[in-house]
Amino acid sequence: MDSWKLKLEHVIACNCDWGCPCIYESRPTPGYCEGVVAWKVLEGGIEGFDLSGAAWVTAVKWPGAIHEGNGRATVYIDEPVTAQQRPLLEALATGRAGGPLKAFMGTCDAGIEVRSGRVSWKFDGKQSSLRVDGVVEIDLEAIRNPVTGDEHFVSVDLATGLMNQREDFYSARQLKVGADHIEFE
Amino acid sequence: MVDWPKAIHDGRGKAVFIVPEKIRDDQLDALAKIFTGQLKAMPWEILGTTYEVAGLVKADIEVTDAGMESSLQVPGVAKAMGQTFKNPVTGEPHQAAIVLEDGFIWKRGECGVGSFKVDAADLHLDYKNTNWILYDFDWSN
Repeated sequence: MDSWKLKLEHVIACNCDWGCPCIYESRPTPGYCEGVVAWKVLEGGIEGFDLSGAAWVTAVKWPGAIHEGNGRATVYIDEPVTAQQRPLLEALATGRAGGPLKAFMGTCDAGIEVRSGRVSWKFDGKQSSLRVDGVVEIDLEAIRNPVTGDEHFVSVDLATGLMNQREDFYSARQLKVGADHIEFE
Repeated sequence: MVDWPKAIHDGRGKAVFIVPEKIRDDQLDALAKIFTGQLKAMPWEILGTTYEVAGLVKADIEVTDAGMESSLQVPGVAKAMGQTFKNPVTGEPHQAAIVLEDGFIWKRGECGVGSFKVDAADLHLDYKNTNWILYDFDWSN
């Protein structure tokens, strides 16, 4: 596959405490990780095909820390996509196209299934939400100060981050997945 | 050195202050007022209400200022040392810094892994490979 460069929006919601221990090379809060990772292409393409606006959502479970592998994932590719875009998105989403997702999805060695879904994507800070019709429901809200109740905003700069170099943190007010093999709430 | 039994905001902490042996009385008095919140400056006007002062130790404090690898030693009383995160797969150093635009203690903290041991007055703490944050601060009242 030709070299490629994409600019993406990225949402993660998981079972851990606020802040994600993984970015500090720590173990997941309950010892295992289950969650949803989702991407939407803002700009760029692969092999001459523009992928702007394309999105995919991955529901995933790892029995331990992510880097220990044995994860099982179901990828939902947003519809509609063209016949040319579909295999490129599949290759990207499963890690076969290389880049940061090669290492990340390489931890899902218990199996990756690819399906189609209709994705609703609202990428707007504390008001963000994500849906895959009938399968995934995520709503974010601000983290709050436990004494005053005021909204509290936390970001992390990751100079050596694998998938991104800056993350903004919120609370997942709701995280629900009802895929065939992966179900949690 | 502080020990809170639960979350910091739940209070009931015990604090032991370590100051240089050669500190003057007026310096010690000023530090005591700042760190118990009597001068109404953030963050101590909040933090100072979450603990009671359980002791004061006068001893030499040796600080080795080396970024994330900094260390602190008070012979016989306390020692602490930090290091960067290591990527668990490659072993390479990993850098993560927390940004708190509205942070009332600090606005940016470099995160890593630390170990520390404290035997100061009645306070005894011994932790290995736990939270370590390095930050610059700008406090005033």
